[in-house]
Amino acid sequence: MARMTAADAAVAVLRREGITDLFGLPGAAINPFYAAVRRDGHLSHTLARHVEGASHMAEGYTRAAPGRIGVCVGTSGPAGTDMITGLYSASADSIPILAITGQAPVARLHKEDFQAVDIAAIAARSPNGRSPSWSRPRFPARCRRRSG
Amino acid sequence: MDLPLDVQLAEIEFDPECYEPLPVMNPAATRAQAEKALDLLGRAQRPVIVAGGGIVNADAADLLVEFAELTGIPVVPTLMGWGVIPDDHRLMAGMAGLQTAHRSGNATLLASDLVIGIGNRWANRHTGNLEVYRDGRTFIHIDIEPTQIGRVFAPDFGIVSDAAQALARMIEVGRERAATRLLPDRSAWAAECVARRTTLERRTHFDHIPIKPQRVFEEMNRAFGPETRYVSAIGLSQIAAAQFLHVYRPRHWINCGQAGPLGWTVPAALGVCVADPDATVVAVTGDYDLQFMIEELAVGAQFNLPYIHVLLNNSYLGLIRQAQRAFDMDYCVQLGFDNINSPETDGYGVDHVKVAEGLGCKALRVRTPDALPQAFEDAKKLAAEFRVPVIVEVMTERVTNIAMSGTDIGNVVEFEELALTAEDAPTAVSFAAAD
Repeated sequence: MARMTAADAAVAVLRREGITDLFGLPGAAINPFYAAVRRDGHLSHTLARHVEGASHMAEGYTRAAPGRIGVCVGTSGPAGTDMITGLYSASADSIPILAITGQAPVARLHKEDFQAVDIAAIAARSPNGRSPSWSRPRFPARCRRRSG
Repeated sequence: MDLPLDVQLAEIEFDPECYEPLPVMNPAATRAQAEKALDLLGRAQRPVIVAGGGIVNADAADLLVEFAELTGIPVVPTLMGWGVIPDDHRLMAGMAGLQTAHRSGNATLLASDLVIGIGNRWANRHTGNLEVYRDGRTFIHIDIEPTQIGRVFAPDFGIVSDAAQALARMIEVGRERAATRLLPDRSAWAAECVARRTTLERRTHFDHIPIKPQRVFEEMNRAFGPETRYVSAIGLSQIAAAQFLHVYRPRHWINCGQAGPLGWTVPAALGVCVADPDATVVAVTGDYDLQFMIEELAVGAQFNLPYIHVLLNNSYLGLIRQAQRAFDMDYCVQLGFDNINSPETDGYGVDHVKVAEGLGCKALRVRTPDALPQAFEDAKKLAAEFRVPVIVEVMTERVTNIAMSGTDIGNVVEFEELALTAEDAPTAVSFAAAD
């Protein structure tokens, strides 16, 4: 067995799920994930100017070709809330995208830390809600296109 | 997927080589369900297929066309399904709906006696008032999502199935029935639908200056071939694009149907460019959708993601202005101002050419209809040479009312002249389809 950070494991899972492209922008709370992306060296990253833009890029990407879904990445707080419009747009038309956000450390959740908003709760309210949650173990199944 | 900082950094045991993607649930229509759908279709006199985006997601456009050809049943694509059957196919009956629709699509839907919806959700911009839409018709609904069946209205028969699986099973049953001459002959009904297309076209050929948007779409039809992937989001430009452009392949009309978030077009087009670097990508928006997320153009310039962005600049929130007619107002929707740095914008406000150039893109401005063909050719060359987004800013007339209905699909208001001859709509494919 290999020992690695959870961020490295997350990148390895994305690779095994056939993900090749990311749209997003780094930030303090998501930098460990970006470090893992850099170590891996196989994912192509398009640097958006606005996180909502990254989420719409992911949707356009999914719509263009079968087999791969768009992935957008951002930091905690406003990056996640910026993605909500993209999650709504994609899910309203049954277009799968994966949105990855950084977050404050677990012990600091719900203590009003800098840029520590409960994005899972906010996103869970989006229509047709594919509610994201760091505590759910089933996330890999969502990396693939839902057909039909 | 929300990843707390300490979770990202935590060390875990994980073997990527032993990781396997979990299976995805993919419900499939049964033989009995397919037979019953075919039974209901067989009893109808004037059936239509409403083909939704689920067919695109299931990569089942070929199966949809095969099923339509096997049974001879005309197809009314939804906005999300546009492209599953080519626009110039004889069984393409036109789209139905309140806004993004063809006159023939609405007329055919209203003339039908049975509707089989496949991978669609009976969106309200498609159905309009449900009493009119449903009146006297039998409905079959096939969708992969169990909660979609009966969500908007209860169909006479519902099937929970992936679109490809359902179509394959219905084709299997249909072939058997065709072999024993049990499939009804639909040629008279299909001919009726083709005739509706040729007699119900809207006019696109206008020579006005400032340019009328209908003419822009006519020239786009000439300039861009069937391989073009169109991207649009929301507003009068999206609605008119759906009425006047032509789409021939699935995934070649890339549009956010239900949510319609302004600003979607630029980033979505860039996402399409990343997914398919060899594609001809053409976006079409009004000025406000472009302004909403215009900063993303820099992403296209930085990462060499070339596409052509046809900007219909009327210096207005045009769809909202049109909706405000019901309130007898034109309030907070004008985007024009005298630009102190760009007097040549003539009160239209933002100088999109300068902004686009400032973000590292190429841009052209067009003021007369005669200049449109050359502008599109120049845009193609610039995109190919510099590998950046190219904006074609078309200065259109300020106020254009686009055909739509606020109530039901039988009540679409036309604001412009209709096409009386092929010269009025020279790029409409219906006239060719009828020949």
